[in-house]
Amino acid sequence: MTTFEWVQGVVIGTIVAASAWMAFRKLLPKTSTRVLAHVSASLNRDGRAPSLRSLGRRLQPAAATGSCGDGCGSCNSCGPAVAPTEAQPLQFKPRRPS
Amino acid sequence: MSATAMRIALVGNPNCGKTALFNQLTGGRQKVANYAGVTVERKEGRFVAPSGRTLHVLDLPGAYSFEATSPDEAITRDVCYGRYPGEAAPDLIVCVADATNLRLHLRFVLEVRRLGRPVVLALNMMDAARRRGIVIDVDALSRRLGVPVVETIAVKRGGAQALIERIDASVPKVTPAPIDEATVEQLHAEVRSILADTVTLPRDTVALDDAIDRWVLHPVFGLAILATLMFLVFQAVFSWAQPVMDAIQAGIAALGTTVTGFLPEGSALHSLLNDGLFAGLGAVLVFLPQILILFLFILVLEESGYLPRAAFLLDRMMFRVGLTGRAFIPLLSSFACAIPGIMATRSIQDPRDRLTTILVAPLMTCSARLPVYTLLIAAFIPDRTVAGVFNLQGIVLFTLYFAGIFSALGVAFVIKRLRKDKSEHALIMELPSYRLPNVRDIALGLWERAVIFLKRVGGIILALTVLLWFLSSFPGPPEGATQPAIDYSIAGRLGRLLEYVFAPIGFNWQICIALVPGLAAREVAVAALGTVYAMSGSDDALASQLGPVISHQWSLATALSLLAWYVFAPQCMSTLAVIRRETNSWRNVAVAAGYLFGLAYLASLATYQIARALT
Repeated sequence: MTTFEWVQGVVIGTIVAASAWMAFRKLLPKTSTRVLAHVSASLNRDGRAPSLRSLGRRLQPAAATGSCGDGCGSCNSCGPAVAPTEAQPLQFKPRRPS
Repeated sequence: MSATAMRIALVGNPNCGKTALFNQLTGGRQKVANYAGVTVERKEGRFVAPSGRTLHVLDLPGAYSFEATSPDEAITRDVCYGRYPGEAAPDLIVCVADATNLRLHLRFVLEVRRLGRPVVLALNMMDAARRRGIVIDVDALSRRLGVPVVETIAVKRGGAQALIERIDASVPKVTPAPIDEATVEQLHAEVRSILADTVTLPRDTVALDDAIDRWVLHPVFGLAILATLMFLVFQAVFSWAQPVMDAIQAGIAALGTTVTGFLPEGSALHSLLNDGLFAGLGAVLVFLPQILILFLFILVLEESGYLPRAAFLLDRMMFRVGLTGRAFIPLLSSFACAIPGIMATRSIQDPRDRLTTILVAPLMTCSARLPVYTLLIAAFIPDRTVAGVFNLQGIVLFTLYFAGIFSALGVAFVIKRLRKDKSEHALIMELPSYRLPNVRDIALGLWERAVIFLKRVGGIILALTVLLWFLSSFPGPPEGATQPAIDYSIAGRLGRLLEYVFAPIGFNWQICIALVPGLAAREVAVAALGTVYAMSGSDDALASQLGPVISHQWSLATALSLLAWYVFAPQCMSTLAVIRRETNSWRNVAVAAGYLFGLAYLASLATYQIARALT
């Protein structure tokens, strides 16, 4: 394998891995946050090397933003985070006889 | 109360300028427009007052009364009463009132005053009031209400200075709440009495508004004006954008040649840059001018105050098919994007009306469909003039937008029949004064749209394009392979499998591949087609211009079938996620996705088979 091919493999591998992670974060934000929190917790445990614990702390995900992907063409999100009561789910009540 | 972080809530009737004031105070850029119901959720910001104090500002949805009739009004009521979960009652309520319409707005001010909390009244739009000859005795009004009153002009820089100084000076004393409960009639009587003492009103309405409304709200001329406006928008999208699109296309091609020139031809890195990034992302990027022209018109119409008039005009027709006139604004918002459109349904009181609007909102043609539509129209519809004036491509685009609208009306009608709804709905909607759009606000709005689009191209579209390139490149072809490399790749094989399902509607395996990443976002399908055709051995010179490639390889029937697919198909997972959130039901998501995919397949099948028979 030539040096160019080796460098090319590393560059492409990095770009593809970063793209896969970005797509995962954008399309499955809750799942990716859970995965990140799990990885972070397992690295940041007592008995781990300080460098691993430091990495674990850095990987700790920020509070969930309530995002659901990258939104549509113009708004780029499905709105800011909302408190559960603010989402106002639809509730139906049986119609009263008239 | 904390001395360092006072919490201020901005409340008032819809369309009185709360969000514009919020933006003035906090430096935020929340959406503002000249119609009621733009803000449907609580927004929070902060600013540092001249004294150094930090002030938290809450922008609340507009409400006509604390007797909430819709979910957005309930948020305002709960926050003001201190019942909102996780949110303390505000230390100060800034009640915003439209100075040109105090007869309506003062009633809510009286309700707020009865809460017994510190209140400041911001008389907004004072410039418009002066222009109309309305004279308000601010001191007398303050004495009658028992609360401080300040003048503001939220849409002008520095227009909130008096309010900032008033808030920063001292917190107003708690207003003693009247002990007895006032009836609505008593509140109206009190408003009339206050107005008689403090306000001189030359006439109830603006003469110019009345003159324009005589034409714009006319049952025949009004509809003709609305149709002409819509028609002009789509003509402009095609006619004005072309020179800039050509320049962007040439720029991308030149950049691609320069960047990939340093890499060995045939290497994987060369392919990633040339076939993946420049062919894929470049194919999407060229549509930026068309998207901006569409938004220019939407922003101007929003600012002018015309949109509620259009809602009034269409109310009768919308009611006949089972939609309320209140659905007009959410559906119109869905032309930009279905997500804010679905969220805007919170202003609809009736849960069934709200659900119907949510289910049909994805049929409105969002701006993410524009790249797909214009790619296919430019490739297959001749660029010629009809009747000496109209651009044929613009007419086809106009037809596609109307196909979405009529489909939404049809689906709403079916839902109405299924639920056997015989209820009556009266549309009560405020018609704001006409306003000349502010050039700076329009420019800022367009800038934000451009940034959002570019971030999207550099974010999710880039990520999915790279992944598609990877799946289209690996595994590589075996020794002695004769077909293009993509035929042996994962994506190629997946496309061939999907082709069995989509062949009856005329989709080839390349289109089938593009539909999969296109589920994440509609425009990705264009980027995906760019990458797939670049990797299928198409001439490199054509790779940055997808249109000529597909016009050579697809039949007209296939192109029309794909257009029909995009009118209906729910190719946007975020929209489905928002339907789940707003309805709290996976069943509704399944219903929406199921009927939209079903309609898309049937429409494409009919279009393809008929077009093939005729051509």
